[in-house]
Amino acid sequence: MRQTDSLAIGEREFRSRLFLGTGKFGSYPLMHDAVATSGTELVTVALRRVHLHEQQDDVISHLQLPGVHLLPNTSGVRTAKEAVLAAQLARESLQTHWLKLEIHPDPRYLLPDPIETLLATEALAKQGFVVMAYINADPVLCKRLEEVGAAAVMPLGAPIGTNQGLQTRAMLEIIIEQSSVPVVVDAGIGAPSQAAEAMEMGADAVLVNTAIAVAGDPVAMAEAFRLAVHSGRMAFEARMGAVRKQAEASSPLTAFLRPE
Amino acid sequence: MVKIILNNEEMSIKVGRTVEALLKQLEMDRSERIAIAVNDQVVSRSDWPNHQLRDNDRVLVIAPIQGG
Repeated sequence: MRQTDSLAIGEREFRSRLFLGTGKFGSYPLMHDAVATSGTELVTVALRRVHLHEQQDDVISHLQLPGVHLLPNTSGVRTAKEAVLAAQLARESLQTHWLKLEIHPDPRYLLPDPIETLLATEALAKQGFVVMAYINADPVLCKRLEEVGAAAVMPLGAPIGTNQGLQTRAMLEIIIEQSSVPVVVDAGIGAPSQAAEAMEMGADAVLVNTAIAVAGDPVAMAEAFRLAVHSGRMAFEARMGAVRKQAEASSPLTAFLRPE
Repeated sequence: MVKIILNNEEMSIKVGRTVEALLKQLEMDRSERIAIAVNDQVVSRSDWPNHQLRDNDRVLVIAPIQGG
């Protein structure tokens, strides 16, 4: 398959532009196989308080694949202050300064809090974290995050886990046009065609979780997404033709049936 | 004995117990990918053997799980 450009975030170069969330998989082996098949090089994990009376099950050992890096998230925090502590705990636990910053206090739509996210991004960037900030598709906020040191912005296509696709398409286009840091479309992507759509628009990467994890065959779906993301990126790099209102003939319009 | 709050559960431990000793008491392995904060300050792994817990300390023990 033709290679596409690699993507630089922080100190790393990614060949795959598909990032994967590890939630909702029915089993660890299924999660492992989907991650391996997707070709991803970046997978998210969450943190939670240890249940003291339960046997701990080590999810990380099932994610140790060559070239796959961990991206801990801050899911569950409600404020910038909590996010900073979560980030420091994540760094301690997983020995990585990479972070998917997500602050969504609203349990119904899980929409990210822009003010707390901005405050936390600034604090964490100063502490040396590579902050990838999950946010609503707000072009102004994206620029502000960039200014305070975000390594990448992760605008949502639709609320987490909804599989609604790129509901925010018009704003995503503005974000992609304006951003000086990589744009990773996160949340809401429910089908490979939607991932391809984001990549064709010029998104630098997409992050997919639910659409793969809850598919009838998550491993096959991981492969479908791998192909779609690659295909979408290849189309973007090949530069698509302009959209026109009026027809433009693809065949010569010489009238061979009737004399001119 | 001193009283601590461990992941929201109250617990009594012997005076002078360190974070390391607490984890041993909880039968947690050092090799597990846990991280600890005491009163919202991370206690790094290298400080576990030295960090003594005090009365009313809030101890948070976290570990990675699946998530998007």
